[in-house]
Amino acid sequence: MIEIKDLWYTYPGRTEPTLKGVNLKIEEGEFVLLTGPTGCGKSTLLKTLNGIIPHESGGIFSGSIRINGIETRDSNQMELSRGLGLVFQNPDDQIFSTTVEDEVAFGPENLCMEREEIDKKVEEALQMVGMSGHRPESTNSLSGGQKQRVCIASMLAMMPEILAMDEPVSQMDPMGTQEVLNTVRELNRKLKITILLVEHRLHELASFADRIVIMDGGKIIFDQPASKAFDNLEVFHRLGLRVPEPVEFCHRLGIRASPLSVREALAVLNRKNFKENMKTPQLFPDPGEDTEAQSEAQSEARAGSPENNDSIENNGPIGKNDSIIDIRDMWSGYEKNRMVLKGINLEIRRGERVAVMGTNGSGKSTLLLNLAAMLKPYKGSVKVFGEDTKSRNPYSFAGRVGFVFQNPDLMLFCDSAEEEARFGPVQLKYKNIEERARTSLEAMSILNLKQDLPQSLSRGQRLRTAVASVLSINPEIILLDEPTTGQDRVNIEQMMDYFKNNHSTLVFCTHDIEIAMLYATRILVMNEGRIIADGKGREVIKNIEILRKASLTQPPVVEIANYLGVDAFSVTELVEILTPGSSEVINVEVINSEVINSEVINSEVINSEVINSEVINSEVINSEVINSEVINSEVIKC
Amino acid sequence: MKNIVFFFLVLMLAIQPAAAEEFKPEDMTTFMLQVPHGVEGNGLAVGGSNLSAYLFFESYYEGNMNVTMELDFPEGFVLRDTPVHSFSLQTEYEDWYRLVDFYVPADISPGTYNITATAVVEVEGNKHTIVRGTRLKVASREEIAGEIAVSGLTVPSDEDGYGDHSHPASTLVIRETSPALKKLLKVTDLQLDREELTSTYIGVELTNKGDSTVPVIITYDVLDIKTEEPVKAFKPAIMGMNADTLCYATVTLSPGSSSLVSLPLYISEGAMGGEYLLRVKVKLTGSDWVAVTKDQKITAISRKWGPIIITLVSSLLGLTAVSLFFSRSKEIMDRFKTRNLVLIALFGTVSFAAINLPMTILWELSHAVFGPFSFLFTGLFHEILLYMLIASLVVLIPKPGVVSLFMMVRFLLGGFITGSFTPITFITLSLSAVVLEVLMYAAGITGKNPAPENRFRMGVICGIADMASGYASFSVWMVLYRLFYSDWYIMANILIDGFLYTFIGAWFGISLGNRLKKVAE
Amino acid sequence: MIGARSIAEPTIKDTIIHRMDPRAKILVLISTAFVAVTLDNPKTMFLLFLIVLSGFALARMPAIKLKTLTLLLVLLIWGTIYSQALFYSQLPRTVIFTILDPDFPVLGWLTNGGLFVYEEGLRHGAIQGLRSASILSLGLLMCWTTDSRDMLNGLVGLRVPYSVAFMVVTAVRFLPIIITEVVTVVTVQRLRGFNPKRFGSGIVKTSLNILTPTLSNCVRRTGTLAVSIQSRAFRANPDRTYLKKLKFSELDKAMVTVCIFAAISIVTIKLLYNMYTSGIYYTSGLRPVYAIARGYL
Repeated sequence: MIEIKDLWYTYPGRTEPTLKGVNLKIEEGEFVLLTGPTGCGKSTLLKTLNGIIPHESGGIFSGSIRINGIETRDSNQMELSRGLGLVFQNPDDQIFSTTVEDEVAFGPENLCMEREEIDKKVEEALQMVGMSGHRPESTNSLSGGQKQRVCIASMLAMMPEILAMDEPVSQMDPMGTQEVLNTVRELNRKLKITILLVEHRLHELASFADRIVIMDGGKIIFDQPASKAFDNLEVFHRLGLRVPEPVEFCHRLGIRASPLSVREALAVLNRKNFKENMKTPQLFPDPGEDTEAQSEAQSEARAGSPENNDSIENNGPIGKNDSIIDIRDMWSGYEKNRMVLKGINLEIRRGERVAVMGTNGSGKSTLLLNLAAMLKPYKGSVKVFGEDTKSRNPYSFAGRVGFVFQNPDLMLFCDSAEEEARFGPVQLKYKNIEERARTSLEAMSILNLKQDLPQSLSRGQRLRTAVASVLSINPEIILLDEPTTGQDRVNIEQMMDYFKNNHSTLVFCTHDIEIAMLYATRILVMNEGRIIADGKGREVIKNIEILRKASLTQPPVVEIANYLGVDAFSVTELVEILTPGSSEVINVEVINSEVINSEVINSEVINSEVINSEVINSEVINSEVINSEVINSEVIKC
Repeated sequence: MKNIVFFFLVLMLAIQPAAAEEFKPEDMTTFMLQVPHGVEGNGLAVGGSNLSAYLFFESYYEGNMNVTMELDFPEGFVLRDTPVHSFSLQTEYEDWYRLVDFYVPADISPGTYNITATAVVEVEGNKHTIVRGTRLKVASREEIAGEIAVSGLTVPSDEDGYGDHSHPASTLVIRETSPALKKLLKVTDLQLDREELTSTYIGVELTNKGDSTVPVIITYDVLDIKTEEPVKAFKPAIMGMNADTLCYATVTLSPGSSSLVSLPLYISEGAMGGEYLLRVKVKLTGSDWVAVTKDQKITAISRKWGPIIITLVSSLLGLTAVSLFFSRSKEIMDRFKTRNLVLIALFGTVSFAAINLPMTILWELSHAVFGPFSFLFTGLFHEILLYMLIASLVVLIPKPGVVSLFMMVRFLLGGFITGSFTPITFITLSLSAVVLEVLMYAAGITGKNPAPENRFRMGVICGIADMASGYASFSVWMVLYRLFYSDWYIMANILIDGFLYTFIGAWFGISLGNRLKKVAE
Repeated sequence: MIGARSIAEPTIKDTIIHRMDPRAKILVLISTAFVAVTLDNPKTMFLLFLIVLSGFALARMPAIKLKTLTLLLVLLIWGTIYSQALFYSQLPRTVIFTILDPDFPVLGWLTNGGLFVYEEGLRHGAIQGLRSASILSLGLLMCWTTDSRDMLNGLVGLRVPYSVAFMVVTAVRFLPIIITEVVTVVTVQRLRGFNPKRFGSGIVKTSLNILTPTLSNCVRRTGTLAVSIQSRAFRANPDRTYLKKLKFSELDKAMVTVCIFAAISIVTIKLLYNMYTSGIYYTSGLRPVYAIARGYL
């Protein structure tokens, strides 16, 4: 089907090749997940498949790519288009027509098919992606997932035997992601279309693939069937690739299994009679009572574990009544007879980090605009810093409210990153501009890029520049509109860590429940213009009904925890609960905060021993040893 | 003998000196009296007229004659000259004439007065008396006004006062040309206008319904139809002379007759089109009193050939460019990669989103607020943004045709979104595309070895192109939309909006383009 | 508030106007534009304007569109009235207001003798504004009753090269996205304390600040879009086929024939009349034609 031999490619104007001797063979009907860190060359590889490289791009190309036996270098675009369809990250950057029908018909029209045939192909393709009811609709009126399915359909209409996709769900909301992935799976299973999916969200997509291929530095360094790919996690950890939570969970527990989905994980656990053999919850600290204390301890002990419960009281000397935003029965919208927000009541206090979740169109962005006083409520009141926004100029809070938009690229217009950071303070006539700029750039770790043109930085650097440009004005509240969309996790975490460490007051919209759990002190779930849930992450995430309304699903680990009847919100937490030695340690540490490290280690060792003896499953012992080591080192750090 | 006597008789008759012929006063002289001058037969006058009586005497007698002429006016008439004139005529066909001014007092009672002239001719000591008499009717103003009428008025007419169907009635065409065009016409020998002034004629038909012969003076004025003030542009000074000294006609109307006279009408270049009142005035000779006036509304059409030709040329240029593109579209489009086409399209969208849409309302609003100076404000957005886009696009894709495609997308997008498939947008956009393409190619900004990054060159070229298209668009507004713009306004517009703002836009467009180039890499 | 959307978006209905073939609409629009610039008789111009407006009734336009139309027309006609009130250069003209005295320093000289509002100019502006108003209204009617892709099909049907049509489709498709982006860009800057209204801070700076992020985004988007389009065999063949086939109905044919015939006739008559008034060409046989032109056109 696809046969790549010793493929080298260097982009025009560059000296370093992007692809360095790639060899890959993909059989008919396979579903291959190609992953790797940013800049590894996976997107470039994709472009070579339908001849865009080298036919359109120029550059230095050597080696051979055969698609269905056809050498791409020697064949024309039309032949290749029939054989292989390409789908990219952002559907908005692929759809150029105004209607669904036109978009899908575009390929067949270019292939000079007869009118009746085009009509048939369009219908079939739309049916394959479950979009046949949307044929006459405007492409602008579709949701993200629908748009991406239209992109797939527009490729399918050309009857390719292979679909190559470049991060097709990275910009989708959870509903869109599900729609697209289900569609792709159906295409692969039922129609036997070969799928080559490039994606860095390995942990979410691994369960769909037959085979996992990892690229790094322009080479393929890993190529395994999905079922065996996670036997050894070293390579994934080294490249910063997140493995599926069930796999991580099993590996941590020392179970020799790589379940890619919750169902598989549960099957594994069942096979090992894990639930029955598990200690009754009474032996563990009661999660209902002690969750907060426990999680505070975790936050001290580890980065990367959910600490949505680190309540504002713990964030410094902040009074309980220090309210920044006070919204009472607020109705707001863009047209009088179509209110987007319907009766919002909300109070946000200084130091809180509020995640706003919900499907697209639930009113998240409108809420943010109201918080920034850029949109005035139709009814009710919005008080920002105690002032009613109705009587204020939309931009009168400039400097006090910082807004990072969904697309940070739109925030960059200066000649250098430093100028971006200086822009706000200069406009607002602040003092010590230089220091503000330097501090904010430093906070986002881009001080070394300060002279670079912001627009030509990488995606993550652009996000950080945009955030730095807001930080330099030192706003009292920061609003982030879906900062996670299309961004690598490293960038998001770095940014969010900063906010957390600085106790910034933060309101952010996100689809990423894990990010919300990790960084928010409070989660709001919105649906159809109303807040349907408002509470600590752990409370919200437990309510499956609420999540369903917002098209959110529980993280796999929470599902597993639910199944096991325990309260856990991350792999680490679940593992700790299931291997209580570690949690004992934490408790000890919290209770005796002045206990010297050696004592803690001792007690930990003792505790582990105690627990070890209690744990019947021999396999668990291995993992426990590993875990204790990890915990030891962390405790020592403390 | 008898024969000899007869011979001598004949010889004597033949050689004898001519014996003095007998003087016959009526046969051997012509003596004429016209009151007033020019009127044969009975004259007509109105009280308060300064008239002249005309005396004419001619001799057909071979010898000397001394003549004493005496003019006799009825009581009440005031003679401004001596009533007695003496002169002598020496030979045959010698004549004498004299105009004798007199005044008919305003208060003289109307009626017919006899005026006689008596000539006493002394020939060889003999005196002969010849008398001539005429009657002057002194009529009341009402009476005269009823007798003389302007029975026809033809504007424009030919030199004889006759109307010509090939010209629309009561319509004057003001042919106005730009100095440049005039030069061009001179060079090409295609002179549309002979002079700086357009001239035509007015035909006036006068009827005398009375039984007196009336000498009249006909003049006219072209008046502002509202204020009835004379409009100078229609009575320009010609070679330093007041047009009033040229624009009149005199005619003597016989009883019961009609006469057609023509009057020249001069139109200076600065004349404005519009509605005017042509007022023809008929005065009795010798009187300032206007006996008859006749008003006629006339329309002056201002034909500015400059804008017409510019509109025509721009349209043709636009159409030619479009047809050229259509006929060789494949060849032209193949020079652009797909991503070039997409980029041009997106630039078109940005120009539409950032310029056209806000301008749809802003333009008119600022007109409402800033009036004629709104271009200073709107141009800041329109020109600077637009040329920033154009210059940066050229930096990104320095190929011939890129500006045309961009303009085409803008035109079609405007048509699709706001329905502005208008002649004005077509002409201005196509003209500026053509000019920009040609100049950029000529300056080496686009082409084989493109060098788009010289800010000054780009600024000047964009400035020139925008000035050209700006001027053309004013011409189109004037010609196709019949709108008026002052010259100063057009000049200010094309210099500030057309050049200055454009130059600034293009200048900074280069930096923008360079930044975008880095993004593209 | 009348936003970009009410200007730009078509309404989907099934009326006689909506059903017209886009090619027919384009041809009718072009014909009408010719007629509109040809006419001089105020009554006929007003009649033409009314005919165009009746199209809005036939198309059963919603109130928001009518409101938008009214606003645009009022602004357009007012703009014309205002400019003509100042620049009217026909006689008679009556000064009703002096804006700039001829003796005003510098500006009096610059404006070549002051600036006045003329009563007759107001009237002239109102009449001449009808010309642009008819063209604008019909253009908007066409846009508001036709989906942009139908319009493009119409253009392709009128032999506009597909590559050009493709560019326009792309431009139309990205318009709402780019408008949102431009609005966001302005918002971002204002939230960072920038006030674009402040002239001191420089219009150039504002323009660059708006264009830089917007265009950078476009440049980035271009790469993906071009690849996506190429991978669907765009321009791989010299020709292409089309899913949609446009069909001229009998009514369309009749409409187009009438409009084109009317346009050609009116333009020809006026041309002959203008040649006659300019003394370029006259023949007595055409006197009835001149009479029509003078009386009605």
